[in-house]
Amino acid sequence: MEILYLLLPLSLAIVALIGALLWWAVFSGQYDEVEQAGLSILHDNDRTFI
Amino acid sequence: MKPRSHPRLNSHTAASIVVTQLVARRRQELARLGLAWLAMMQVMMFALPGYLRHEAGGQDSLEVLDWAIVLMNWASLTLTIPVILYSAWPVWLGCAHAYSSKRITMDVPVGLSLLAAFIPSVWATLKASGDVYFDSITMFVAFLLTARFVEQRASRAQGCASTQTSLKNPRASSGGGAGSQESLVSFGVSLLAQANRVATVFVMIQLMLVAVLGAVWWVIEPAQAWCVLVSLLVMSCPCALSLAAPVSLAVLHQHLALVEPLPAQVREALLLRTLRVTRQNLYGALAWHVLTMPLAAIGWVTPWLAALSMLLSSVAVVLNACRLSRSRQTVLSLSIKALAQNQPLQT
Repeated sequence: MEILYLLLPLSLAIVALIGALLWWAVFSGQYDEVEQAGLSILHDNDRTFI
Repeated sequence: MKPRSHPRLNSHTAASIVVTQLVARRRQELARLGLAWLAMMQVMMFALPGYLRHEAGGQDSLEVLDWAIVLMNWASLTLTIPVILYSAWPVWLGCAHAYSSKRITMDVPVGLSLLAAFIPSVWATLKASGDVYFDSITMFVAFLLTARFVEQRASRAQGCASTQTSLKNPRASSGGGAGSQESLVSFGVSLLAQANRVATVFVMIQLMLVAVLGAVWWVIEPAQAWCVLVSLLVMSCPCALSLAAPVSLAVLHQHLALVEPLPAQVREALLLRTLRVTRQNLYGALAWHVLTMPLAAIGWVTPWLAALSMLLSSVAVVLNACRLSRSRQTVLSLSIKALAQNQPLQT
C-alpha cells in the first residue's frame, strides 16, 4: 500500500495539469463562440464557386 | 464573441468595451465551473475509502483503510481549497454584499453551508479522525455554479434577444409599437421581481428552520447533528427558484425574435404561457423543497445527496422551460393563421 505515496501526488499532479490546460483553453478564447462554428456553414460565401 | 464579428457594436467604443467585459466575465465563470467539476470528480475518487469504511471487515484491514483515509483526506483538502477560494468566490462576494446591504440573498445559505462543511472537515483532516465532507463541498459548488451558469446564459440570451428585436423592428420603439415593447420589458421585470420575492421569503424561512432543526438534533443526537445541519443548509439553496424566471424569459424572447411583429393574440397567449410555466417552475421547485426537507430533517439525506437533489430540481426547471421552446412550431402556425384572418380586415 506504500504505492499510495506515489499515486496520490501523481493524481494531484495530473489534476493540476488538466486544470492548467483548461485554464489555457478558456482564457485563450476556445469556448467563446461554441455555437458559431456550427452556423458558419450557413454564413459561407458561395459566390466564388458559381 | 470577438468584437470583430459585430461591426454594429464595434462602431460604438462603449458597446465594444461592454462586450469585452462580458467575454472576460464569461471566461472567468467557465474557468470557475471547470475547476469545480474537475476537483469534484477527483475528490469523489479520494472519498471512496471513506465510503468503504462502514463495510470494513477485519481489524487489520480497518487499520490499513484508516491510514489510506488520512492520506486521501489530505489530497482532498488540497483540491478543495482552490474550489473554496476560486470557484466559490462569487458566493463570498455575494455574502459580503448581503452583509453590507443587510439583505438576505441566496448566497447566505450557500456560504453558511460551505463553511459548516469545510471547517469541521479541515479539523478532522488535521486531527486524522472524524468524517470529512470534501466530496459534498466540491459537488455542491460544481452543481451550484452549473445552475448559475445556465441562469446567466439565459438572462444574457434574453438581453441579446430584446436588443435584437428592438433593432430589427425600430417601429416598435417609436409610434404604436412602443407600448408593446415597454409592456414586454415590464412583464419581464415584474416576473423577475415576483420570483425574487418568493426566493427571499423561502431562504428566510429555510434558515430559521435549519437553525431550529439543528438545535433539536444537537440535543437528541450530537454525533449526527453536524451532518444533518450541512445537508439541511445545502437543501436550503434555492437554485431552482432563481432559475425559474430567467430561463422562461429567455425562451420567450427567442420566440419574439423569431417572428416579429407577432400578432397581438399570439403574443398574449405566449405571455400567458410563459407566466404559467414560470409559476409551474417556481411552485414546483418549492414543492420539491417542501417534500425533501422532512427527509433531510430526520437525517435520511446525506450532504452529497442534498447536492444531487439540488441539481435535479434545477435540471427539471430548465427542461420544463424548454417545453416552451418546443411550442415554436405552434407559435409559427398560430401567427400565420392570425395574419391570414387579419388580412381581409386590413384591405
